[in-house]
Amino acid sequence: MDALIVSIVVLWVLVIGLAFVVFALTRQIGVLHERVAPAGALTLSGGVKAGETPPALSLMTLDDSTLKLDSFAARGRGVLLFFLSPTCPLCRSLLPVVAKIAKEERKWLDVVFASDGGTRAEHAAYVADRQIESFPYVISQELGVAFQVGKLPYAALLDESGVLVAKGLVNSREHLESLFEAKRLGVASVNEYMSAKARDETEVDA
Amino acid sequence: MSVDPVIVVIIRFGLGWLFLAAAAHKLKDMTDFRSVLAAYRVLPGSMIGLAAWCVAALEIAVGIGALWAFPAAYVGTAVVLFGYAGVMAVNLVRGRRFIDCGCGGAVQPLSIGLVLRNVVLAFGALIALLPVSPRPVGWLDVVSMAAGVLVLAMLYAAVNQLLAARARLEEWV
Repeated sequence: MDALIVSIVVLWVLVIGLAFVVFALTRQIGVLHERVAPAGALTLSGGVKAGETPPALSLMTLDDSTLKLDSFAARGRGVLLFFLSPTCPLCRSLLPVVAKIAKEERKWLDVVFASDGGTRAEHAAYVADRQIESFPYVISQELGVAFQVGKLPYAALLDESGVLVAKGLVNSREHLESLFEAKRLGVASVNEYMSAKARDETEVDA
Repeated sequence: MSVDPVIVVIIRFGLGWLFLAAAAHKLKDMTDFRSVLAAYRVLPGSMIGLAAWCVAALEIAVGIGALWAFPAAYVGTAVVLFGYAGVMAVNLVRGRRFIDCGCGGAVQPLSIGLVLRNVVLAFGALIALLPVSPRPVGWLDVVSMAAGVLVLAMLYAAVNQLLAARARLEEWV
């Protein structure tokens, strides 16, 4: 009888330990997914390329004012275009990151949200619900086509002279920050940045 | 058919923990929960605000009820779990799998795995309604109960992580 009791208690301890290990493993898989960039799929080909100036589109914002894409460069300011949709959960989860970046980089950067499709009421409700009223919100298919936005959330960073620094699908905080890293390092795309980073890390390892 | 007291206690505390944690997560960010609820498109827009509070209150009620071993609360948890599985299945059929499931933790789209998870949990809750076989409960049973609840909670969290990771893998293709 004693042997049975001891073995059950020991087994429970081991099972608890195993459950923790399994949980920790799944947690690490989740973290890895966030860290690892989807190989080569970030910058979809087509549209404005890094180093080019996008067309000077005239855009309508949600509050019915006109926003010219080249007006930012005219004032010597960079702009982050964040393409989203009210129905995209990942876009929603990235909004706080975008707001934080807008605050940190406010010396030189403006943030513009861009979307298309849906009804005006849906967009207005989304803006109010997510408390992003302080940023321009444009509804334009033209803009999405110019940058060849295929998947959401998508972001494009223009520098102070209106030239596209980098663009791409942004699935996480790190992807978004890599656009700014691309500006700092002078690389053309998130892909290039990621492969450059991978190279650096292998060199360090070696 | 009857069920051992150890099993019942594990289900009781498991359900209590599950529902109170879910309610706490919703109350922490009601704005977020409202938009999750709206995205399911099962309620008219004007009712979302009220419905969000009702869902959170219902979760607290059945969670506490389960801890107190009210049979009605077990039925309540099963109904809520089947209900969640139902609205997820409806949206999967509509082709709206891209919405956030609102499961707490990482953002994850709907999947058949999540529907199955809820159905399994709901049937688990119903087991607690079976008559309990009378036997003295010793200290070893208490160890089994505590360890059982702990392991269940860890495995539940691990399953959630794996479902979220699988959804991310699919996005890459």
